[in-house]
This record gives sequence, C-alpha cells and structure tokens, in this order.
Amino acid sequence: MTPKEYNTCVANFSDGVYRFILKNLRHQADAEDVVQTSFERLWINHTSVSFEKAKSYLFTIAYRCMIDLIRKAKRIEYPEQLPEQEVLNMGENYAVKELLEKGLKELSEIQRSVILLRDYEGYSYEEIGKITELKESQVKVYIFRARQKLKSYIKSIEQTV
Amino acid sequence: MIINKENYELYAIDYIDGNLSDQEKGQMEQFLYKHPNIKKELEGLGMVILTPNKKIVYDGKADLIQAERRPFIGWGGLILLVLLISTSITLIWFQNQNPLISDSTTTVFKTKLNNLPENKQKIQNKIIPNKPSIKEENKIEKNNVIKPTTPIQKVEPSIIEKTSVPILPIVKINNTIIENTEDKKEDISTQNTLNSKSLYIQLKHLSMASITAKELQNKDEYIVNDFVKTVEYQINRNVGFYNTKTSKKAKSIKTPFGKIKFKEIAQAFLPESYIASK
Repeated sequence: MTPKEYNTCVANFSDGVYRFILKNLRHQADAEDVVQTSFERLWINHTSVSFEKAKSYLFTIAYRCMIDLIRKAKRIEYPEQLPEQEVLNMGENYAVKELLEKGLKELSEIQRSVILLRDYEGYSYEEIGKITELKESQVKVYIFRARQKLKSYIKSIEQTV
Repeated sequence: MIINKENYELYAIDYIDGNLSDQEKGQMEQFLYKHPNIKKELEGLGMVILTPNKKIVYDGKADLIQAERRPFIGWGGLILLVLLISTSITLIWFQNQNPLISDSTTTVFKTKLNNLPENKQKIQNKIIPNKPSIKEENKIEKNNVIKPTTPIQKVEPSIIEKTSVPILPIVKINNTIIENTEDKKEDISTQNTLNSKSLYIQLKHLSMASITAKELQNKDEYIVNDFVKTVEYQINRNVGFYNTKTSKKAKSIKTPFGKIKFKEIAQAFLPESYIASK
C-alpha cells in the first residue's frame, strides 16, 4: 500500500473504526487511543498490507486493542446516558434507535462486537469470524442471541412505558 | 442435517436473512411449526438492526495523515546501487591493467575460456610483449638521431638563391613554409614519392638512394593534382643493421592544387658537405 492509499484509508475508515470502538468501550478517549494505535500499526506495515485488505486489517487491530484494553482496565462501565453528541444527532427513528443503542449495554462484549461489525460495517459472517477469531457458525449464533436480547430489551422498555 | 433445539440457532440467522437453501428452509419451517415458542422468538428479529450514526466522526484524522513522499528505493536498493558502481569501477580498472581483456561484454566468456585447462597453460606460456609507450619510443628515437657534424646555419632565402651550395634552413612548398629542423640536416639523398592522399618526401641514406641528390636537383617541379592536406617528410636512417624511421608532419597546405618544387626541397635537405663533395 502506498502512502497515498494509506491516507485514503484514514479518510474512509477512521470514522468507522472509531464508531465501532466507541460503541464497544463507551469511552471517547480510549476509543481515540485505539484508533490511533490501529492506524499507527497500519502505517508501520503499510508496505506489506494491500489496500484491499486494509479495512479488515484496521478492524482486526482495533478489535484486538480493544479486547486488550478491556482485559487490562476492566472498566466497561456504561454511562446511563448516551454521549451528548449522539443524542443530538438522532434522526427520525429516534426512539427505536435510542433503545437499540441503549440495549447494547445488555450484550456481552463479543455479542456487541459481532453485531456492530455486522450492522455498522456490513461485514459478512466469515469476515467477522476472521476479525474476532471465531468460527462462522459461532458468529451466527452470537449475532442471533444479540438480536434476541435487543428485541427483549426493547419489549421490556415498551412494557415499562 | 436435521434442525433441532440444539442446533437451530445456527440456522436462525440465515433463515432471517433468507440465506437458507430450499431444503434447509423447509426443515426450519417444519421445526418452527413444531416449536411455536421459538417461532415467536424469531418474529421481528429482522427488524432489530443497528444503524450507525454517521455524525459520530473521528476528529483526529489530520494527525493520522502521512506525507506522501516519493518512494525511496530502500536500503537494499541503495546497497545494490553501490555494489553495481563499485563493480563497474573494478572492471574498468581491471581492463586497464590487463590488456588481454579488452571488451567488458566478453569478460565472463573470456574468463571461462581462460579457466579451461588447455587454455590456462597457453596463457601462462604466452609472453606479453613489453611494448614501450609512444613517449618512450619518441625518446629512443630522439637519442638515435644522428646529429649533424656541421653547425646549423640559418640564412635568408635570398642568399640561398644566389649560392651554389644550397643550405636552406626553410622550404617553401606552395607558398607554405616548412621550418627546417635538425632532422633535415641528415646526411642523405632525397627521393620523392607522391601518393593520392599526401605527399611524402622520402629521404634515405646515400647507399639506399634511388635518386641521387644531383638528379633531384635537376628536377624542376611537381604538380600536385590531388587534395594534399599535409606534407610529410620521412627520413630513413641506415645505421648498421638497424633501420629507423622518423616521420614528421609538416604544415598543412591550404590550397588543394599547387606546384611543389622538389629542387628547393632537395636543396633544403641536402647537407653542405654532400653538395660540396659533388
């Protein structure tokens, strides 16, 4: 990958990596650190990583950095409210979106990661398996359970209301 | 594969996504028919899809951007370049040192040939002639020049015309003045030779002369009908068993056609002692 292609990766994928990590960690500074580390590693290895595989490479690095961070800090403590920016930027389906976003905290780390990779980035189950080092069948089961949990969460909120 | 309670989760997502084959889809529907509670679980799951908030962006992009420099050839390339240059220099030096190898393109071939056992011996036996350089040859030649016994006398052309003993320090060829030198004071007879490209005045030792000085004196003039760019005189000296030659280019004749008076030339080259004896 050329320096120019690397810069294209920065332009195209940094937001996605950041969102993915932020939704998992719910910690802005940590998410920024993970993004920086991921791109730093991509730059170091940019001559050996092809442009076509750069996105997967970035998400894989970011995911592993995040897992390391979680294991070291054990500080996944979700704030009660979404970050201000996120609340302000909600669109028409504010209620459903908000509920789904809130419901993420009900998921396990791995469930959250795989469903975010699937829904946010549109990765295939096979690709998600490569990033998270899981079998494709495991990914499918995790995603299925994650959707079930989110559905249950929304239902429970609706019943409460 | 039969779908049951233990493995239905594996197929659930593909069923929701519509990615099951017809056979698998039939099996799944049969299973769900038997287990309505699970069917209820699956209902509406297709709607549970997260959508990314595109307004959440990473602000530190500028810090991640790298300068798009020109590609550096790398250390490997640099080392290769240095090796290439040093090899070229060595080859050139080696060629200059070893006259047997003159063509760099055939060096490898020659080396291989030289390494053959039969050729190795030949090369070892071959005596490279210790040929002296041009400078050295000129030096030897200069030392071999027979110095005139009589001192060189410079006289004006007008005096030469009047005197019966022609000792001319200068020669006029087609109005071009050829300065006399020590070589012209040889004890020699003169013979003229004219070829197509240049005029040679061949001066030989008396015993070798085919045209005597007297005969030459009687010749009037030669008309040169060719482009004569240079006039050269050549002196052959016969000293014992060794013949040495001295060749010297005279001044160029600017006009291509002209008259050359050999009489004058001969007079210029003939030493006083010889003329006097005749």
